[in-house]
Amino acid sequence: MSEPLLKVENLKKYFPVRRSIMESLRKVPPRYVKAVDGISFEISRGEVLALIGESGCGKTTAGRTVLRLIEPTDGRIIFDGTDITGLTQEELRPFRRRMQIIFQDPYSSLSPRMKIGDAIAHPLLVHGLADKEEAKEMALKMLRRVGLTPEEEFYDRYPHHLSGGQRQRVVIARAMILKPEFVVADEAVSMIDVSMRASILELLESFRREYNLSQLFITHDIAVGKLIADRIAVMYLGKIVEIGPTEEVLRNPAHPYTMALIQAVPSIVARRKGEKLRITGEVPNAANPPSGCRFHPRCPFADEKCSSEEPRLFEVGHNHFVACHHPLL
Amino acid sequence: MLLEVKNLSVYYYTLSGVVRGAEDVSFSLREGEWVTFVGESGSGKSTVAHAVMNLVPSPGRIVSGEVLFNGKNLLTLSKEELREIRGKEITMVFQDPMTSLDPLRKVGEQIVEAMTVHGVPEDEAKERAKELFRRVNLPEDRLEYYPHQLSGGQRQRVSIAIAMAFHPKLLIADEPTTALDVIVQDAIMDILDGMKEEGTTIYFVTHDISLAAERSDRIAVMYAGKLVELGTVEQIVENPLHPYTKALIEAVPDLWKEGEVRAIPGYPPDLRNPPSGCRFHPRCPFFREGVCDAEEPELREVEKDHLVACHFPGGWRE
Amino acid sequence: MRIIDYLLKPLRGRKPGKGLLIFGLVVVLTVLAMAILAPVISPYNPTEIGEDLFAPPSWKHPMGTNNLGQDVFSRIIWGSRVILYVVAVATTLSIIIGVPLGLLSAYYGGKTDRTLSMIMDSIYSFPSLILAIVIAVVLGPSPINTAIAISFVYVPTYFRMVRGQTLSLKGQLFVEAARALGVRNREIMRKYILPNVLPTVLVVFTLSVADAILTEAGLSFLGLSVTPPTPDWGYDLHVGQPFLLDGYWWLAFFPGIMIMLLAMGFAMIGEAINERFSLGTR
Repeated sequence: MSEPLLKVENLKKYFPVRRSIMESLRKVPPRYVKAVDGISFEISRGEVLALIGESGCGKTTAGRTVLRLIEPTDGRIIFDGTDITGLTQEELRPFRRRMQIIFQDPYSSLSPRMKIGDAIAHPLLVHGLADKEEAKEMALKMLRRVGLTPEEEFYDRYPHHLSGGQRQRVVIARAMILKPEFVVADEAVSMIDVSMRASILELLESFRREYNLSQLFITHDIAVGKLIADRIAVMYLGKIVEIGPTEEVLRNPAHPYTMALIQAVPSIVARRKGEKLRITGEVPNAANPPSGCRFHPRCPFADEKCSSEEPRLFEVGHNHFVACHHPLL
Repeated sequence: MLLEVKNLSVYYYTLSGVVRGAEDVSFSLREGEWVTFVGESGSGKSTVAHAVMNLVPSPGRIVSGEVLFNGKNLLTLSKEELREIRGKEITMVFQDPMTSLDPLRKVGEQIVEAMTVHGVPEDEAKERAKELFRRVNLPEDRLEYYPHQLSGGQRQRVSIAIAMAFHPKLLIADEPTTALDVIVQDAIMDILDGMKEEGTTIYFVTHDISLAAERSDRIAVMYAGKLVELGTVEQIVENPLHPYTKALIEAVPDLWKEGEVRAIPGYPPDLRNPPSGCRFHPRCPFFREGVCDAEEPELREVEKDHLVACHFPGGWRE
Repeated sequence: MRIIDYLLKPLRGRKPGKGLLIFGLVVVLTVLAMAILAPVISPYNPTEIGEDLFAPPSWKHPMGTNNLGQDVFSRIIWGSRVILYVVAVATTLSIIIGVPLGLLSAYYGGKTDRTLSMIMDSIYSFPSLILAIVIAVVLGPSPINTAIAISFVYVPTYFRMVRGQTLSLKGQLFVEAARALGVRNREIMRKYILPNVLPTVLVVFTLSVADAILTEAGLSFLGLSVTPPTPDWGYDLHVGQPFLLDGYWWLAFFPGIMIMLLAMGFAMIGEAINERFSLGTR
């Protein structure tokens, strides 16, 4: 297999916590919210990696940091062989064409005062890939491609005329018109009605096939992850605790947290699931993570080693890694 | 019958037209059962839940129907009588606890007040507050916290604690876990389960049919303001009779389901001008002209305890 | 024209703002017509000193004459020019300075933003009339200096409004999306933020014009604007005021009520637009 399209090495993003005046006077050392604390992964061409986790785990920050919409505190981002971590905004611009993002909220992803056709055409103008006429042509084609027909009519509409699902199609059209190689989908279907999610996911899938598109799919919904991802990475409090092929991870979860997540997901098919792994409490504050393994306060299998030593990722199955002192496998 | 809703219709009088949010909805709830109303945005499920408590926000208005709670019509009660029932016999938990909790007061104070307002002496209320917190798995020290100092899941537990203070006969929960993570959601559902074991009827509203299937005894499916199917969980999940129900089940990604996920084509209708006849007909793969677009189907019992509003229920089985 | 379209839209709905808007438009357009058509419709030369002093309102002089025998009605008509001119210049200046400053300051943030905000807030917290008076005194009485003085007073209003809007828009997803697409900062401000800020600017505009009218009247009342014998509502009010006790009410009444009506007219338009924009965009 050739080099992966995207390689993320030990990526960190710390947000400084604002100190009160008293604290800065007393020279209290600044605290940080360690939103992303050293994550590493690779994505090959045409591959979809789902980044799964609950709120506060840092997955959204991770997605944005990979695209350098947020500046990383540490670590490296290597896109198609080039280290883009330290590039200036100007040097980064040609890469922006190749890496795109789709946000969760279709309502605020579009400027309320821009026609949706213009919004889709705009990226082409920004990157000098077409003149006004051509850009409009291509935008019309893209509208048809994403199912918003008659496209001439839709071109002139404003976002508030469209439903959530339709707006998300516009957002996808706008991202795809540049024919990117890599897309970060940040909870792209969470705010869409359930009955329409499948069609949005199908749309993304069709682009994946057409462009051989790689995706980092960020979601809290494991069921969606299962539907579209080749591999799954589970994040907890800024760290990846498990990563591996989707089937593997879901059928044989190695980390207790992964197991708890899987069991908590409601299902029509597996209604009464029987004895569940009891985990207590809530996700702790990311400014003050627990010592050792971050999951240990909530873990039914935790022991002294877990509270003092941070586990590192190691292989437990074919391409299946877990960071745990007492994995379930 | 604990709760009987008959021909309930709720319309919203907006500047752009009259939105027929809920149309001619009828159902009943028995004591001690868990019924979940499932539907997508605009289906009317939330509207009906609010209407039951006579809490429809303007510009909405209940235009017709009865809501009989233990025989008394809640829609015609005086403010005094309603106040006696609300908070004691019927309580409600909403999606966003921040709107039902006062941001300026400690949560402990609020839960105590919820009780003293109904005549409970203060010291007794304080003791009960501690007990209620234990029931919802909140550490006692949280009583001294303000709502913004708590996480979403914790705030929701506080809301539930307030709702259980008087051991209500009916708890209406409108999307209480939608904004919460899946593990917390599971824990909250466990708490509601506990309430059900103690005799409270749970009236649950959600857009997530998997969640509905997991815990309910019965499921009511709503589409475009109408109740289209009502039955036990087994009936709905294993033998759905309305095309929408079937389509909804097939559209939802599920961890344990193999096989394809299929989206429902089209969009939910504009309720200012709903489709003629059956409101689902423009999107229905089994649409038959002349019938489905002409006449509105009635909610009819097709097998024991299983009601459907469709001209050709289960028609795909031939 | 799009602006007229926006203004007239509420008339088509069933909103309570309709009455407000109609009243406001009637007043403002009437005064505007007065100012434009002054040479044509003014019955007399407003500065011509006459023999008929303190004549009460009659067919010959619909608003009476003043202490110099000048026809009040003609002075009102011609006076509309000064007040509209000063307010127009002042508001334009305020917008040209305040809006871009607010946009840039909020977008780039940092020390510059903090400093600028502090300066603007200080100016803003000063009572507007007193500030205008001080500046007008320093610059010297003339309509253009009055305009500058007034514009100074209202720059912070536009600055704060635009800055606030920009700050909140800056964090919106569509701005982040634009950044992800590779759009340059200048273009983001121009294409994504400014169009979303303009509606608010429009509302602020109408409301601050109402306020500016009162400020101008105040300044000219104190003699800091035009020099006599130029017809000016505020100045005429000042002149006519001592004669109220003698029973010669029309010298002060008409200028006074015109000032009030014009300010109210703009204020009502502003209210109606405000209503329309908070309801119109879903």
